[in-house]
Amino acid sequence: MIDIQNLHVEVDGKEILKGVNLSIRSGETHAIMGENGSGKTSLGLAISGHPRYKVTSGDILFDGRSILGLNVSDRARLGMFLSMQNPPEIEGLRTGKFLSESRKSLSKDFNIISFQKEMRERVFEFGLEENVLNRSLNLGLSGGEKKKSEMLQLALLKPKFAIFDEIDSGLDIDSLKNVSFKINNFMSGDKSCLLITHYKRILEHVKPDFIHVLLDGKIVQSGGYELAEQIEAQGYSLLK
Amino acid sequence: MIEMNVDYEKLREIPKEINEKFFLANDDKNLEINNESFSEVYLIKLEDGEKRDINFDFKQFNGVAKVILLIGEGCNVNIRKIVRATGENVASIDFLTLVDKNSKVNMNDLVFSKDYSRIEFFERVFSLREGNNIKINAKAISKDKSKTFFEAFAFVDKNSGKSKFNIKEEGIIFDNSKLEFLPKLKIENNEVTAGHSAFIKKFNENDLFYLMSRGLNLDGAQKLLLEGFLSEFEIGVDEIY
Amino acid sequence: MQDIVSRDYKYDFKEKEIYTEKIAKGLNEEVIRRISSIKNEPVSLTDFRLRAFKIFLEKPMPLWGANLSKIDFDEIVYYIRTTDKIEDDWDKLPEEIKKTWDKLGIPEAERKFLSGVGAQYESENVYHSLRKDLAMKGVVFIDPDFGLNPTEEKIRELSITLGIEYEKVREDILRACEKFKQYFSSVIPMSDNKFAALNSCVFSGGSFIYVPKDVKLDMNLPLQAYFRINSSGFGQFERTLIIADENSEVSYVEGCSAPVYSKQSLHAAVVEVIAERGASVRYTTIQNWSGDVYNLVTKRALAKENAHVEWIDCNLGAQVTMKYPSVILQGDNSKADLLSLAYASKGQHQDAGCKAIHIGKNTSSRIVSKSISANGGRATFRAQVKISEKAENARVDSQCDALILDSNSASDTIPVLQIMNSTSEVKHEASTGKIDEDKLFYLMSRGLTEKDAKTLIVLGFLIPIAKTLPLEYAVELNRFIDLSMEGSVG
Repeated sequence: MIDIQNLHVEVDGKEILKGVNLSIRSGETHAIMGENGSGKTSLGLAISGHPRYKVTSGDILFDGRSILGLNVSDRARLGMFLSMQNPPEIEGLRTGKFLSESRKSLSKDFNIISFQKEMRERVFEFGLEENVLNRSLNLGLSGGEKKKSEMLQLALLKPKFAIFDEIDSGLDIDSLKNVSFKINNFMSGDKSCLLITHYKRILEHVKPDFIHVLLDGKIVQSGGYELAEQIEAQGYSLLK
Repeated sequence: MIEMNVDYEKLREIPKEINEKFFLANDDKNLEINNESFSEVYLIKLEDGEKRDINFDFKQFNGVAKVILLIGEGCNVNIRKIVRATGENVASIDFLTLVDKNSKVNMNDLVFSKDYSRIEFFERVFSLREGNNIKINAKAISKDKSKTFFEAFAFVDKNSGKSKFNIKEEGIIFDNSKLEFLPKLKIENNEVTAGHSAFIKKFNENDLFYLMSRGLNLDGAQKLLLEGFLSEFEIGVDEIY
Repeated sequence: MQDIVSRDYKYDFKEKEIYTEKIAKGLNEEVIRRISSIKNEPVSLTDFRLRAFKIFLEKPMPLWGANLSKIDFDEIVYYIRTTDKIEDDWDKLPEEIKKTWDKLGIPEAERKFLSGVGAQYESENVYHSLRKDLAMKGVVFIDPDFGLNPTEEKIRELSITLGIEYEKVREDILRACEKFKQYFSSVIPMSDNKFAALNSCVFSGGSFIYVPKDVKLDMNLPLQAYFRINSSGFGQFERTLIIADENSEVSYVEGCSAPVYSKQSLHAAVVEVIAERGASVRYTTIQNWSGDVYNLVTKRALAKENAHVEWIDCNLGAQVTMKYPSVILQGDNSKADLLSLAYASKGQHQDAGCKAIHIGKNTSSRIVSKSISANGGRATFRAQVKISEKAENARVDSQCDALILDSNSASDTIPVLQIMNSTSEVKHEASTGKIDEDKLFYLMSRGLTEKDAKTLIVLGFLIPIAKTLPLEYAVELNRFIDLSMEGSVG
């Protein structure tokens, strides 16, 4: 579904990704591990199309077609979703309103009444307060609650491919299990996802098909789950 | 800039004839001024101890208006003003508010100009005696080659004892438009705590990216953010956009 | 350059005139012509002065700002020769002033220089080696007479004093003077305002500084007014022009730090600063004039690409001050820091502030203002921030705080924010109030007297600006506040 070919990305004039190669097929779960500064978050933002991350060479193909010419909302409409590490708080923008508008832009058949019903159901399912739909988007939410909010969006906006940027940071064991459960639910059928993480914790619950280690802007090693165990035991230095 | 020389004592004893001529019925909670153009002076007086909500809505405004608000002792007032100008209209609106003592005044102003229009808005609030708590919250939007000038002037008299005064102005301009803020403080006594802040911002790049990553296009994302900006005014974004 | 032979002759003749001549009060064409002839100026400069005079007569007094109605232009003497000052002043200096200087701890050499005591020679001895070092780097630091009218005689004199070979001095001076000629009156034209016009017709004294490309002077060793060879020092109509060439760095301190016993009631100086591409200029003023002085100064800087200009303006004295240091952020990526500190006490009105005009792309300005009014004084802070249409991505951060120490004093904050570009971000915050009672109580509960507690709080309030001052001035500011609190408590 997603093909990243020799991707070089620059931000603020500095090269942060130096030739990344990665292929994710439908139904696959991939994980990217790496230290801080390795370029993990940059990879997620570059794939989503953040304007500050400039692709200097290489390509990104989605379902066989290059998406470099598409902006972030176009890519979202193709079925991409980025769950951010620090989702912004937007005062004055009602969460419910935001979700409706997004869904409206993403799907051809949109019925406000049925969507509102769906929203309420999900809110209940996720164990969030009912009035969260009336509150400003992400305003005043803790780190863990913001992650829940992102998962709520995932469930309501139904993308094909999701990138999770450090979804496990700041979560206690119960929330972690909860979030992992939701991700596994999402991964039914031919969806695919990319988990960006520093630790192996979440990978115990969301079993990846492939793990890649990013170091200094390049993927230096790929493997199965045992790679994560190796890193846990010996740290990233063994790969340097 | 017009300096106002106000003789407070004289203003407090308003002659009866003027009262009758310009006085708007105290029962009117909402003032909707819809005229295409006019030049008038409105005088509104709140008696001691009155608790009121007043809304001013200057729609499609073209002209000059002056409003004098006298707020007595121990009042609790919430005032909302919306001024809109469009299509080459020019609106000049001057609010002069005198607050006596021990009153609580909350002002929410929204000013927006679009399509080559111009708005000149003066919000001048004079705190005369002690114990007042005055808050002015103003939002201004200027788009399509329009120009908005917003003066928020807080004057604290020498006798104003322990008072609180706060002005907050926020503005957004779109391409080719102009916005001028003048948050002015004139403080003649030191028992007052006064502050004012002015923020003019463009839409936050990260906020936009976040909304667009959920499928909205640029226009749609900007509208949503504007809606957030205007949330307390209950105005449809489409009216501005 | 004039013919050397006739030059010498004129010079000698003039010297005798200098010692015997007195210039009457009042402003007219004759006075101006005489000033010009005493300085031996070329016709072009005399014409410049006369044109400025015409403009001065036409321009109206400003309708805003402090009350200037008591200024009587006919009562002012527009030119004083330093020699007069040196002889007269020290003897006539009132006891209180001498005592205050002691209390303030003014640096020894500066006291001597400012009081005119000991010949210039003495002060020059102290700074001689420093000045030679600067000159070897090609830095030119002279007065306006020299800068606008460099003669062989003056160059020769300078080369002897500095102990540097004539050819090098000549080359540096001529290069600098080309620049002075190019930029003089370009940032502040004579038509700018009435007082700029006044200055343009009677200016005398000031600093003309040129720093060559890539020369970076230590920002912690600022150039100071009394480094100049010529003590046309405390002219009330000083004209300063600082040009920092590409990638150079220079810091300048205007030492009006001693309460100068001045009979003159009007000080109308003009300061122009040019920061060429990549250059950095910091201009610090600590003004503490005493008496009935009207301090009306026009200061403006032009910042080119990647340049950085800092104005640090402290107004402690004078009866009335109207001063708004400005920076025109013309070049892309240029930056400005505008710091203003004002203390207004009994009978004083400090009307000060700053202006930031954003023209280039990615420009940014930072405004910090701290003002204190006490004993019936009034502090007004006026600012203008203008972001023009083409100024993409401009950033402005402004913070203005005012302390009013008692119920007789007042404070105004009048910022004008004119935004014409939608990609800009402007943030402005202001606060006005008195000393926090809780803070005062806390300090006093630890044993401090009310006066000491208030002093500490006020000093803390001023720290963001005080910390940028050169050490000796920071010390002086501390003592000044200490002294002032003595007067205002109980």
